Parts: sequence; structure tokens; C-alpha cells
Amino acid sequence: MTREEFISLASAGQASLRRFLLALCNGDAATADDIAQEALVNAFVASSSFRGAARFETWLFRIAYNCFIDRLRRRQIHTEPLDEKASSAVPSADEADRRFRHEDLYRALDKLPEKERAALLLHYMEDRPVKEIADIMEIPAGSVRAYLTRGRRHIKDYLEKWKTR
Amino acid sequence: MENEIREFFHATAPQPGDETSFRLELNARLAEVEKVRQYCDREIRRTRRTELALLIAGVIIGGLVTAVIILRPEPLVRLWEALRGLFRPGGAGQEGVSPLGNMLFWLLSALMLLVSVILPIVFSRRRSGWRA
Repeated sequence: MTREEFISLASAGQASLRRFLLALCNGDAATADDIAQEALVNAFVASSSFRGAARFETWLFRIAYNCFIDRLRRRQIHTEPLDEKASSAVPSADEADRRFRHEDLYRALDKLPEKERAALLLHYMEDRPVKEIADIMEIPAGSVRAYLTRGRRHIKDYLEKWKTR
Repeated sequence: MENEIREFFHATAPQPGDETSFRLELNARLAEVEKVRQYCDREIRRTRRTELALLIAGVIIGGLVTAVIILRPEPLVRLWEALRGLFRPGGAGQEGVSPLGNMLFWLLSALMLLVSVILPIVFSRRRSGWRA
């Protein structure tokens, strides 16, 4: 696959991928974009092994999710609560504004384990069916359903607060 | 509940930053990867060519050596005897081969064989940068 072919294939799902990673990284745009770049480069390197068994976008999301998990394991992504994050780092004006607007979502996802968070984001924000989420996260569909059920329970409180605003 | 959650996620979905700078950076990274990939492909082709050449050379040399052993042509037998004679105590044409002369002869032969096999391999690996 040439670079041009790859870019034209990847560009369709690029915005969705970046949005998913941004929410997964709790609004840390620099880390999210870095993971997205790493995932796209990895996908380009491995593009000859893409056989079309899954959709290209699903395959891309799977690589990106694995990159995210790798960084999490290497502790390059800090998942401390938002309050601590806010006090330890001074974001730029643009980023602060952006974060403020999506704070509801980040707060709702903040304390969830990363698998629940990923399942919820893929299902409710990116509108992916359970089967595809299972392909992306490389877990059985039953586990995805379990993560979604648990996740729904966990964000219920935030949802109530959000509705009353 | 399902719809409410979906509505919440859609309403609060974050917007990624500047698309153009992201694409520019991605293009630059992919161009670098493409360069490395082309270099690797070139080197793999070169290594394969060298390996093929070495294989053909090995088959030809092996065939020639086998033919020489089977046919034993007169000039080569005389050359062989002359070489062995160099290591005899009294020089060529003298009777009796010293054990040291015999040992040196075989050591020299083994060394030449090793050099002729190992050097081309080391040379080809260095040129291609290939490591096992």
C-alpha cells in the first residue's frame, strides 16, 4: 500500500479516531494526538499485513487502542483524578477552554477503568456495535456487554447531574 | 437510559485540535517511514542477490572440486605433489614427509578454505547491514 493510498483510506476515520483518543486520555490533546500519530504510523508500517478481514477503520482503532494500553502500562499516561491534574499542570487558554466545555464527559469517565471507558466511548460516542468493539478491544462480545453494563451504572450519577443543568 | 447516555456522549464529545497541523505531521512521519521502508527493501534485494551469487559460486566450486577428485587430471596431481614436496625435509622429490610438514600443509589448506567461505559472507553482511 503506497503512502497516498494509506492516507486516503485513513483520512475517513481520522477525526473519529482522534476524538475517541482525546476522550480516552481525559482531554489531554497532546498525548491523544501523539498516540493517534503513533497508531497511524504503525498501521502504515503493517499495512501490507492488512488482509481486509476487518474494516480498515476497525483495524486502525484496534492499533490505536493497543498503543494507548501500551502507554498506560509504561505509565506515560497519567490517570490521576481531574482535580489533581488541574492543580499540577497549567494548560494553555485554548486547551483550558476546550476542557471546560467537555468537563462533564471527562468527569463522568474519570474514575472508570480504561476498558469500561473505552467500551462506553466506542459504543455511545462513536456509535460502534458491540461486535466491532469486541474486535477493537480484542475481547469477547460478552465482556464488552459486561463493561457497558458496569459503565452505565457508574456514570448514572453524572448523567443525573447533567440532566438537571 | 440508553438514549440519554448516547445523547450525553454526543453532546459532550470533544473536538480534536487543528486538523491541518496533524495531517502535516503525519505526512512527514509517513514520508520518513517510506524512506526507511524503501531502504530496507533495497537492502533485502541486494542481500538476496549476494546470497544467490554465493550459492551459484558454491555449486560451481563444489562441482569443480568433485570433478577434479573424480578425474584427477595429470597437471593438477603434479602440482599437488609439488606443493606437498615443499614441506618435505629435503624439498621436492625427496622421500619421506615430516609430520610437521604434513600438519602445516593441512592447516594451511583448512585456513584457505575457511577464508574463502567466511570472507565473502562477512563482506556481504557488512555491505547489506544484515544481521542474523
